[in-house]
Amino acid sequence: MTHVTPHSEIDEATLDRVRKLLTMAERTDNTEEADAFSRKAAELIVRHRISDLALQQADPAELLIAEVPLGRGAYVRARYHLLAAVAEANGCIATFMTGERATVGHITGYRSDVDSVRILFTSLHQQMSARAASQRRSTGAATQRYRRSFMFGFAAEVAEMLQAAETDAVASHRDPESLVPMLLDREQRVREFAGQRLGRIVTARPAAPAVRDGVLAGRRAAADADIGRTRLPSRAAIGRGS
Amino acid sequence: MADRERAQVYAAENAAFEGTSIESIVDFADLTALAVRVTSNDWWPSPLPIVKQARNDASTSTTVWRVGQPPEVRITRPQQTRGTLVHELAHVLAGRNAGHGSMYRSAHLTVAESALGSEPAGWLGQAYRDFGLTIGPARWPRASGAIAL
Repeated sequence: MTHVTPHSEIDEATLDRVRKLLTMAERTDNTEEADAFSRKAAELIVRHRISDLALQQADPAELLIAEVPLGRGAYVRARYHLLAAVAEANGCIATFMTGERATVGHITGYRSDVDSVRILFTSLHQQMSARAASQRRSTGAATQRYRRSFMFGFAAEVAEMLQAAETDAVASHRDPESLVPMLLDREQRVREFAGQRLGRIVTARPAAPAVRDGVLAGRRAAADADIGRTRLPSRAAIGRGS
Repeated sequence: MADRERAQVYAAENAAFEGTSIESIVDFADLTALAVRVTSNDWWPSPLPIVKQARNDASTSTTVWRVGQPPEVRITRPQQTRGTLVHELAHVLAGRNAGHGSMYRSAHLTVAESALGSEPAGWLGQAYRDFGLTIGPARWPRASGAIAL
């Protein structure tokens, strides 16, 4: 298993900026400020990923698999859904393995993309958890069920928004017609690498059903985020839970 | 009799075991071997339960009680996990009328410790505490060591 090192192929200045923006988003009590910071960070990541420089530097030697601990308990699958959403939007493949004590997620992709996934997932997970924690129902069981559903909804909405952000970024590229085959080739290499290193990947059991109200509330919370919708600057972005 | 705490018990199980191999599907032979191991303890009451696969159209695993017959644990294929077996064996140990109440939870911890070990049993005990669920007095010796409650 290859682990991600602190070194990154994203240029350090961009990475520093992304980290600072996400840290500010997590620390501020002002929701509007947090929204703006998160949105800007996501924009930077998406734009960097499809930049000519990043694509030209796509060295197969930089393909790797990184581990992301997902813990145990009722929210593991929802966490994985968020990880998968962020991974897929960044040209990576997300898988998971269930162990004796906990579940571990794996992100397969190019180092720069994997680093982006880790940074964005960490921040979004913190924000999703904080918002879910503010949800309460009449019993502990009902609260757990609702929060779990909330997280699934949040993850689903983030997935759609990140995909839309990528689509926007591709469309605004100076030469989208040449860009798309490059992106597809990159994704194919990632799939082949995952197949070689991870072996047979099976589809997991479906997650237990979610509560509709919770899913919708989670979607609304994430929709406020407007992560990476580069062409909709007036929309709010994910902020801290209140 | 109303089984008011069932949902809370299920939620505590999820909090304790979801995302671990305790909730992974295993071969049925492994489950029956585990059941034999647990019910072979000196403290396990007789009669010993029968553990079998549920019919394909069964929607959930159950423990069936019939007069004059040993209890029958039926496990559905989608729930063919160690966690499910432990849950159902706890019903057998607690007795027919225990539902998912405090006596059931005491039995659940006892079976969990015997089948899964003290650490997972500790996760379950912690989850019960987090959900505000009381644990009844144990009528059975603990499988090994003490579970902190």
